[in-house]
Amino acid sequence: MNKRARAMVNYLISIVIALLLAFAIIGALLLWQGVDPVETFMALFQGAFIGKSNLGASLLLATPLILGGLGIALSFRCGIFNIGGEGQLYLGAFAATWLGVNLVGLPFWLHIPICFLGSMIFGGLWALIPGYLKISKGYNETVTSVLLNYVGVYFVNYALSSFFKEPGALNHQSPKIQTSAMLSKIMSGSELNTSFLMALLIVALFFLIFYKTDVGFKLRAVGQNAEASRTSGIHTRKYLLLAIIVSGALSGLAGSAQVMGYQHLMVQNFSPNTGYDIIAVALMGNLHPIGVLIAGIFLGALRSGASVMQIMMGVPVTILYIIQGVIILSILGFSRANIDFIGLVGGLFRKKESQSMAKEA
Amino acid sequence: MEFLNIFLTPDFYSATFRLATPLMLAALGGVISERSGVLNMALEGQILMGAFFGYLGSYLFQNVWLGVLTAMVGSLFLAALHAFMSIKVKVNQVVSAVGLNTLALGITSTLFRFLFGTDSQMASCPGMANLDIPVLSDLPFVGPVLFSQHPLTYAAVVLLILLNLFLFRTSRGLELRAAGENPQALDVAGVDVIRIRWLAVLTTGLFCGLAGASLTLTGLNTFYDNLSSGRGFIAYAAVVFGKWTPVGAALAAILFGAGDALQLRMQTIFDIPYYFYMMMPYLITFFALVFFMGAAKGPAANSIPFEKDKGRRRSARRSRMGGN
Repeated sequence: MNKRARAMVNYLISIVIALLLAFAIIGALLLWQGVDPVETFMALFQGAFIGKSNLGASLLLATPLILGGLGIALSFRCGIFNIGGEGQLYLGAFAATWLGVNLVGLPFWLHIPICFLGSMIFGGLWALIPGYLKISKGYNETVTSVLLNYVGVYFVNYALSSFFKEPGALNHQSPKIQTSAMLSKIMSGSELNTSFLMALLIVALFFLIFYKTDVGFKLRAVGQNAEASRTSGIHTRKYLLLAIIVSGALSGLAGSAQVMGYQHLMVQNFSPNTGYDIIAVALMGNLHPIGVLIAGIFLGALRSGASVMQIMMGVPVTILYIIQGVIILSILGFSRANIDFIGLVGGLFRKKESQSMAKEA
Repeated sequence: MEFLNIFLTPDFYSATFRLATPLMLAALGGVISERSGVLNMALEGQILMGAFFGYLGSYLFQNVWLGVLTAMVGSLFLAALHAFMSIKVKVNQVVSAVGLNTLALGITSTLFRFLFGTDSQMASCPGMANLDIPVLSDLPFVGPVLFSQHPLTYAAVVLLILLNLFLFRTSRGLELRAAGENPQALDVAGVDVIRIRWLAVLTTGLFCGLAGASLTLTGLNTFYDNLSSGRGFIAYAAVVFGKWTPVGAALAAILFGAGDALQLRMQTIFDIPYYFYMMMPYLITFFALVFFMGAAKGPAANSIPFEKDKGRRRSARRSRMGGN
């Protein structure tokens, strides 16, 4: 087995172990509560994968996770820890909704790209702030981006309660976007829409750009060893800035995809914690676009399954946070410890062989 | 004019210290951990754990002091995990903090739902009363501001003094600082760097437990999801803003507390939307970091895991390969 395949298999094994660990912890919690864990997990998986509408819901919820996760993967790959996804997502969604409501009379093929572009610009600019502060002044981007999350979310909530509130609505919510800004559905009986296809397209584009072009090569080089790439003539700062802006833009897109895809209007706290969930997605996907795609679908499925589980079993959806936390920590741990599972298992066999050989002798 | 009157009332200053207490306790904890060389962005999760377990303990035992104790235990659990991940497994400490914070959110809100149901309207637990220090609390102005606070505020001040003495006046404190600046040198001097870092991170957990308890057990006496709502990050910012010194971090925490107290009072005077007030603590922290800080330099070995035998292992390998 070549080195790359071996690393891949090891990685998959570590994910399986992480998942088993997470489910073991949840299972223990459920047993303690007197809930049947097997039945609960069955409900979870049934809600996630069984049936057209459940599957559609899973892919629907996966869309923003894939988009945002790609952005996080890019920024982490380049060594810039943008954890401001939450604020970027809210501002992006806000921009898209505003454009979707206020631009009247545009054909859909113009309206939809404008909304998406608006969300990318807002998300990207919001990410530019911590990025600029990091690159020009050396401020820790994690602190600044987290603080900006709260500022961004409160700003959007303010907008939805005042100048951008649907007149006469009881809740704090925006007006409905124009029909020309709504994405069309691609699966009957579910809300799944073209934003999922867009996410797939962006995954492919990301893969091509990141692995097959000059810009991608430089981005990877900066992430691998910033000092070496700087001395070899790469404009490191430029690429770091590019990475964080793109990651913000993708987070913004993750927000607008939800509004334009199926919510069609914005309510306060419309997408709680997604900005942190995408970090779990990126790490689970090994910071690789294809991995992010799979991890995004998986976590989306868990999310959609969890709501079914909550209805059927009365187990709160918040167990997802436990699962995510355990996954992040164990995947980090396993990849850092660099355990060679294949070697371990192989080693066990070899030991047995040598023991049996010793017995024979 | 009405606005300026805020600053004349003892009420404002008293609220400042009350609101600064959790920030200060967590920031002091952060100073300990960071000075020993372990980045601690998981303050948020630890405060949340402290807040929930403090509430839980106080509710179950119907005793606020046992609540404070369970708060520290709950927070310690997360701190131990943090220490294990950062010191033993040596993972990226920023990303693991994200995992720890998510885990804390999951543990607290899930346990809360399991134990109190989804629509339990605020089962309240015993809380702490303000402790009036005799004679001193009767002083005009200064009395209510400084000497009529809840016990954890006094604890924060005492801990600040103790920590300052410990860090800069004892040899153990010197060792702790050395662990964060030049662990290799400390190791050569025969001091166990790993042990110091473990103890430091666990102590941070205890501090954050107190911080969490000071959120739930001093008047609120209940719990809700994500109760800490970013205070851990503000505390972390206080550590950075205070340039990694206990006094600096405490002053920064008091500044941020004052911002919080100010926004609560301004709400009644100005007709500015509520959301901007909610935003203010984060915005003030952000601008404090950006405008008044200059290039901050933390402990040199902060966030770099310590490898004990790095040098020796390398020379061993070299000799094995036949070179010298």
